Amino acid sequence: MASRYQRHLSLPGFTPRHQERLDAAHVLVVGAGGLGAPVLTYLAGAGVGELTVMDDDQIDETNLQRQVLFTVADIGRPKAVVAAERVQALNPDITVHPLTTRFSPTTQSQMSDDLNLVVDCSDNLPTRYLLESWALNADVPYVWAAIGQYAGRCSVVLPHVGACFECVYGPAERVAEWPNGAQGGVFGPVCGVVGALAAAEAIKVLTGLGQPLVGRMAMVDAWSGDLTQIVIHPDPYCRTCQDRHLTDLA
Amino acid sequence: MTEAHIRYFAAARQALRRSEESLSGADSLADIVKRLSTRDPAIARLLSHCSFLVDGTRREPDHAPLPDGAVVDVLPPFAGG
Repeated sequence: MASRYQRHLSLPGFTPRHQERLDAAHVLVVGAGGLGAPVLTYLAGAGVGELTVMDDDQIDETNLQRQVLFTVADIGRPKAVVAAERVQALNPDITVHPLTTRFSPTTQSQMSDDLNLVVDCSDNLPTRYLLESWALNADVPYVWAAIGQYAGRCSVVLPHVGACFECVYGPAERVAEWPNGAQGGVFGPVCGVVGALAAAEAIKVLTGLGQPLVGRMAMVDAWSGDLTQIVIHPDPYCRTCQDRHLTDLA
Repeated sequence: MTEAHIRYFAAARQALRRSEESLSGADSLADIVKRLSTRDPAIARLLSHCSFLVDGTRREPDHAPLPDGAVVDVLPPFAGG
């Protein structure tokens, strides 16, 4: 293990064994936008051995206000490909796979069966519900982050522990964003705060270090500067959780 | 008389112009939503989209009685990335 990870190994509780766990891990990051940028950067920097980056979108000028992996020269190029190039350059020792497709019932069947964790950085509700349900059914820990205007949220769902995204928001067909993402705008730095938080949670789950944000939801409000967290319990009527044999940790 | 402590998050803070408040005589979640909605049509529209947690568990805004001292979290859904 190269000196690249010396600052990890100097941390209290962080041993070469923890670094080896990161090196052996395969993480799927869905969405290479505002949240994907910090998540991918920190996971690559931390030495997560295999990253799959999924995004079907191309870079446009309005992305550059917050999607900090991209430059003017990248406009028109696929986000997944450019993001993969950038984090591969940051850490040549890891393997990065770009996928320029959307997570869907079709593409989910093509996903690798060796995934250790999914980070949801997607930008819409249907993808989130589908991805969460798929990950938990596959016994893969699911870290989600979401942003809207000046606010952001993040939580961790383990296959059999903790309230999930649907537990918080209810059945997919009854939820609508408020306000709509593109119309409502996004305060750029919130992506960095919440994305970095999601990356930290992913690294904690993969290594087993610290106390993951399970059964709790962290919330950032950049307008007021408030950083809060609330306890979230599983919803007894949640369909995603029906087959999870849940333990309510909170 | 029951009292509920309500916490507003994200766009709900802007709409309600506060981060929290206590409502006395709050018999049910439906009652709370109805009372808040009369303040402003924009608040009514916002609340129709929100998710509500009562002491950490999601609840539909129904007429089931609330426990005294219940903490109600008002969460506008967002999914941006």
